[in-house]
Amino acid sequence: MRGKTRISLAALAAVTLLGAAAAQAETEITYQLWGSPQEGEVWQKVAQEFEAQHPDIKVKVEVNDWDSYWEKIRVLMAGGTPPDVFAMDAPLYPDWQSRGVLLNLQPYIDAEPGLLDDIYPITLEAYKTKDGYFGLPRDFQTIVLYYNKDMFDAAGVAYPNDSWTYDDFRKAAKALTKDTNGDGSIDQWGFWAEVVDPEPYWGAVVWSFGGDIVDIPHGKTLIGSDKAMQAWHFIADMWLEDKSMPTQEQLQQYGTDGFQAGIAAMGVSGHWSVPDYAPAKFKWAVAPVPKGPAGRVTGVNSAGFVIAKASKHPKEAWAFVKFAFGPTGQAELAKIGLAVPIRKSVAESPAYLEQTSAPIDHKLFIDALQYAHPKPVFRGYEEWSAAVGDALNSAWTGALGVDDAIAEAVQNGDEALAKNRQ
Amino acid sequence: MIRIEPAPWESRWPDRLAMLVLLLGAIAMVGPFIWMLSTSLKLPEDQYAGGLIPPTLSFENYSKIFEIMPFQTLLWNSIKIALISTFGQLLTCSMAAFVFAIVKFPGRHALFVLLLVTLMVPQQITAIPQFILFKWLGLYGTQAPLYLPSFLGGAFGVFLMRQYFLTIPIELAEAARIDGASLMTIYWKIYLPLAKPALAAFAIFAFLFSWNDLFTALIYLPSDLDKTTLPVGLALFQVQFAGKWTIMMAAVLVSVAPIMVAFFIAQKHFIEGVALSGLK
Repeated sequence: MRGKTRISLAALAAVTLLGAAAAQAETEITYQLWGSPQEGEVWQKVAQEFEAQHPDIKVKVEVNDWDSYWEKIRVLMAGGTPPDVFAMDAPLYPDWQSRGVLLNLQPYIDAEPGLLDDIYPITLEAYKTKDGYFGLPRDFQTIVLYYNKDMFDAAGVAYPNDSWTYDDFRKAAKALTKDTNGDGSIDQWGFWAEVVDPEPYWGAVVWSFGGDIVDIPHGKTLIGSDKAMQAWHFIADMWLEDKSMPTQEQLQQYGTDGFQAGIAAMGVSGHWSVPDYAPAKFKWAVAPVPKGPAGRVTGVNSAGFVIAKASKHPKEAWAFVKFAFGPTGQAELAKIGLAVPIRKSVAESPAYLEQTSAPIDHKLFIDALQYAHPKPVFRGYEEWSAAVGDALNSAWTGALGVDDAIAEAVQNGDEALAKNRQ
Repeated sequence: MIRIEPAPWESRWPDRLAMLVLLLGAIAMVGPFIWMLSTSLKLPEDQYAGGLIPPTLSFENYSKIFEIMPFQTLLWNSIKIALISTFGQLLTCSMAAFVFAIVKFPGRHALFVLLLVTLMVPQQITAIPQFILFKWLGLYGTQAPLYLPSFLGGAFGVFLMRQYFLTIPIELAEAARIDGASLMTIYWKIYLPLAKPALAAFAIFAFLFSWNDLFTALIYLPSDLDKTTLPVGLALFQVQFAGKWTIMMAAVLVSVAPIMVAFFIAQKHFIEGVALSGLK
């Protein structure tokens, strides 16, 4: 049924067309984002507040899951009907920007002196290009350590603190890995992390051991350096030798997030996990990521707004972005606790710090900016991360030794970088 | 009347063996479904407890999914689109198939091959041109792109129906022709009723295809939960409830229920059809 005879399609559809609706009087713009239905509702609320201030503009908010979202945006873009405003993930931004489909926001920013003054500079970096900003950050995510207090208490292990090194972390994870029901198989692990994408875990470990991910201007994958290799061996030893982390098969039967499922005593994640973890039946808290030989380093990534160049209402789209980027919009977002506001005055106000999402130290996520490196952002990121991720997976499944897997990751990663050279 | 004597024990063992194999097959097929049903009836904290028997029987998951999402609207949108699509496919594919099977016209083989070739063109290739076309027609954002193409036939359905029509003795058509029946009458009064089993089988395919189609709904419909279809809603649902099997299974069960109903309805005709053609 897939390949249809399309010759008569136009004729038949033309008949249906006769009843098609006419254009509306008030300007309607669309804002699309990825996320959960709840996120969609929050944005709906922000849109309503915006509409109250701009009665002539209507904002239509649409939310999809991550995969569907990008599939949809690509087709809409190719078909010439992109949403006016859409959410962007910083690592993917250079790809979209370099294809010339995003509106240059620089003229609009120039017309608003002081607009960027209140913004954490590190969150702006990803969106800056030599021709100006083609996007603005919406919120940011720093990675911190989450820990299950109940499991620490039961095992008599001291909670993580800010003097923890990766060695302390490894020891604690080992002590927390056990067979709690005595059936002969492990059912509680000390730690769980996703070790394919650099964002949640491995990027931070590589940095804290003194390694780096890619060079500037993004021609070489650096994860095979001596220092980075120490980081990889640290991860592999903890996972494959200590067995302090569940294997991918073990995890699968509990879901996709080992910490949330209550089978891992520690996890690493950004603020996006807070609403997910809040209803958990165990007590939990957050701590800074451990220190490595090269100090404490974590990752920061920011989601942003972009406006499609093909938008028929760029002025209205900008008005919405400016509102959502501004104090009112940011304060509304802060309350739901999915991310940290990019605006200092909001992030350091009760709107964010005293949010009701979960009773934890929300300031920790802001403090983490001081020792955070931005997640690598370059053209071809998606291709590069898929190439590297595939090679990493072969190490975690045991198909390849760690050294061979990293060598393969570097080689495949470099090929992806070469292909995307500008 | 011939009485069929029960076979002596020795000669019945191959039957018993066959039954055993079928039974094992049935368990393998039905097992996951039973698991799904039982998990959907458990309390969230019991999701791994009690094996197949829920420790506490609860319908909480079912009421919850309707609170979280307007499932009834999503279901209705999906059912509506699937029914219209199935009708369109049955009608136009059987018409085209009838012509390919019965009417001898120059170039029909070439045309048929051309039609089959369209089976090889993946959806990804036609997605964007089709999108541009529908946009040009002003139908972007309406449900029309989800069912309209079904009224234009389709290689798979035409092929399936044509093969079936070819098994019907051509003498039936010839006899009707001699009695002065038009092509339309032969199609409608003779071929279509005889093709019930094939139509039933094809209806299941067509319904299933439309029911499961995430991509088309995703790109043509606004992703509002009151306008889109079930697969888009389920994909969103999955993000939020990963690992929470009790509620996921309730949602999945609700979303496969209409397919099962469609299957059982079609299956009745399917069996009837087989029985009828056996008398031929």
